[in-house]
Amino acid sequence: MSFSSQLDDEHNDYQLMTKIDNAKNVLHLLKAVNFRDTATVFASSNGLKVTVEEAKCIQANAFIQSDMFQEYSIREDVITFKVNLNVFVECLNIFGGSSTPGITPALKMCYNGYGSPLILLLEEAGVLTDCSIRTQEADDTLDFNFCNTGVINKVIMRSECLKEVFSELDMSSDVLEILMSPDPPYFRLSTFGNYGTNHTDIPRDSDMVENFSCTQTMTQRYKLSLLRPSIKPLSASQKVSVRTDERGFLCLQFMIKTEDNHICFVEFFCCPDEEGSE
Amino acid sequence: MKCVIPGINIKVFGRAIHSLAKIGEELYVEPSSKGVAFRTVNSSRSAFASYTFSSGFFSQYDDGSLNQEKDAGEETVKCKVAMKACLNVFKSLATLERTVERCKITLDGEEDKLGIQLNCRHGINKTYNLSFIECETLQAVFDRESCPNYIQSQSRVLSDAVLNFQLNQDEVTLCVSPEKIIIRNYVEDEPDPAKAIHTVLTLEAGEFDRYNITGEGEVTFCLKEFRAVLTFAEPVNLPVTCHFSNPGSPIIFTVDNRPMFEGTFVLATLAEKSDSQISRSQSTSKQTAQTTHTPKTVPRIRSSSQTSINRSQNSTFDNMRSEQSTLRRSDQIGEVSSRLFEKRASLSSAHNSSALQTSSQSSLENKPILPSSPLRLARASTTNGNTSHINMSMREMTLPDLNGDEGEREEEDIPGTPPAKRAKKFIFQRCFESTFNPEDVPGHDRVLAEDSDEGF
Repeated sequence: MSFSSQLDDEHNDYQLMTKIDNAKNVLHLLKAVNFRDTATVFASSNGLKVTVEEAKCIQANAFIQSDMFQEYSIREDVITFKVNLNVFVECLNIFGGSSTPGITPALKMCYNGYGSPLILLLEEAGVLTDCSIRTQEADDTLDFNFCNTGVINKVIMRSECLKEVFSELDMSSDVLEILMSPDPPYFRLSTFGNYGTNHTDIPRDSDMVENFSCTQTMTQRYKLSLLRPSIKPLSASQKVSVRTDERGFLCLQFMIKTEDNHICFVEFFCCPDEEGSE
Repeated sequence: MKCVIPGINIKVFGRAIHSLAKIGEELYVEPSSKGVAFRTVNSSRSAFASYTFSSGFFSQYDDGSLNQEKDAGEETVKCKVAMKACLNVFKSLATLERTVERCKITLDGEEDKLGIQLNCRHGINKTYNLSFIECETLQAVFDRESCPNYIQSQSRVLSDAVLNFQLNQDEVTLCVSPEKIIIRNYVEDEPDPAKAIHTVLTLEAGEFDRYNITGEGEVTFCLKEFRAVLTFAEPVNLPVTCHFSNPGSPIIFTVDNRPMFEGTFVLATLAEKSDSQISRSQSTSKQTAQTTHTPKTVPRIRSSSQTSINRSQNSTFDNMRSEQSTLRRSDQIGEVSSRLFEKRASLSSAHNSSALQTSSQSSLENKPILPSSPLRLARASTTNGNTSHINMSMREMTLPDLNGDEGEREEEDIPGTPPAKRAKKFIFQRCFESTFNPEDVPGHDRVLAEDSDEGF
């Protein structure tokens, strides 16, 4: 349903004001990173970045670009605030899951700077919902310092095969070992659980692998419990890129296609397991 | 040993593993020149299951006997692995069917590893390395040909029949006659028979493919284990054959698809009702003995506690629950299992040796009159087998004497293991109660000086 005039506001001098016809696009991206209660939102002229962290070891970022919105206006260079992500997601989902085809909930999101609440106005089929979520000061987020130049190994593959592998991982194992190498077995995921060692190999010439560029053999272990939050964005995505840098940090980038064929990205960083590294 | 299962047979193999997993906790792998057998037995030794896959089932089969550099006298490796580990590999049958193209199973005698390699679509390979323990052959002693009664039916008929029974139904009785078979659920003596659900299903002889029943009779066996047979047989649409004789002798179910594979399930059956009467009176007299003669509780427990130790040593918490359901027939099974299992087992693991001992002593098994409450208690304590049985007897002390005075039986005083601390507390309860009551002291209501720490 096209954007209704009911969402038009009289004063339009919010620091951040965005409008989107289909709130579900934003909802799916936020749900993919909702493994903790709170998230930090960074807004800039490029769009929104929603960051969720855990244990100072992992970080997930959902990028909602400004061109996804029908209207996007920001008065500052960068606006940051912390908000309860669970509540945010619940509000976006206020009209529930299924709806008659063609009717989508429209969203207007407003934020007026430090201390003011995040205001969400949602409308679907003539029903208007008004949400006001308190915001907090944004904490410093981790900077994994993962730059493209430091990347040693990179594999881009279709998400479905990695999805299957992750769902069948032996959860009794503490760690997941990722081996990436220009030589066989090329890409190997290993677990060491109660029942023995399991390996899953994906060769570079598999039709699931779209891009394979590994410069040296590297094996790194990551705590399986920390990687678990990455399963949600993995399931929602079409493609995934797995990269490791010289320090052993892992960067997963998930390419998600929204309902109206917009391409969005969710990024996931993880520190290597200390006990395993040399 | 090395064998390769082609894609079309993988689902069947996975089903066999699922079916074995419903019975036992350990999977015995026994390769031979003709094929491989995968066997298991349940923890109370009352059910044995075996699937034999001949070399025709595999696209490649090498039992390792043709290895050149073999030391003289070295046999092909016979081993057992954890069932859960194996089940983990074949967890999702739908995924197996969809993605796996080949499955290679290897037994590496040097590394003590059972390797399962799944070659999946898109070039993906999954390798599972499971550690195994070498062991001797697991073989149940039974003679199918000597059973006078046998019936063969389509698995669909039997699964439809079994659908009518409650999911938590432990045992069913097959009452056979030359014209028909009546399947009914086995109800233990409930305090109120009117409250129990009775399910009775009649199958005429015509429903079976082959029907050879010599006389009247009934056999009672565990439904859960029978369901494991049917969940394998029904999807592959194979007929199931049952061979049985009199109560107490094992019932043998076969799913036959030779030369490719064959599945055999041997389940113990309940012995005659008269035997159970005797053992019930045994426990009743124990009960009366216990209410009057506390010290005698200890000696009588010894024999039953030994069996419980054996059980708890080799069973996990889950098994305890299934064991308790088979408690009723455990003493009959004692006799059955001594005939059932000729286990030439290595005595390295304690439970192996004690399994044979179980047979002679389990006739003295403590049988609770009201199964419900003692069973719950026994479940609560899993680590110390001693404790669980003593708790059962303690509970019986507080139960009303249902069967009246049956007269005490003379039983020898076997010096027993000392009772657990909890039993002591129950017997010497008064000692732990405080006996000093400050209000008994004369003049306690006259306070000469307040407590200095009052109002603190």
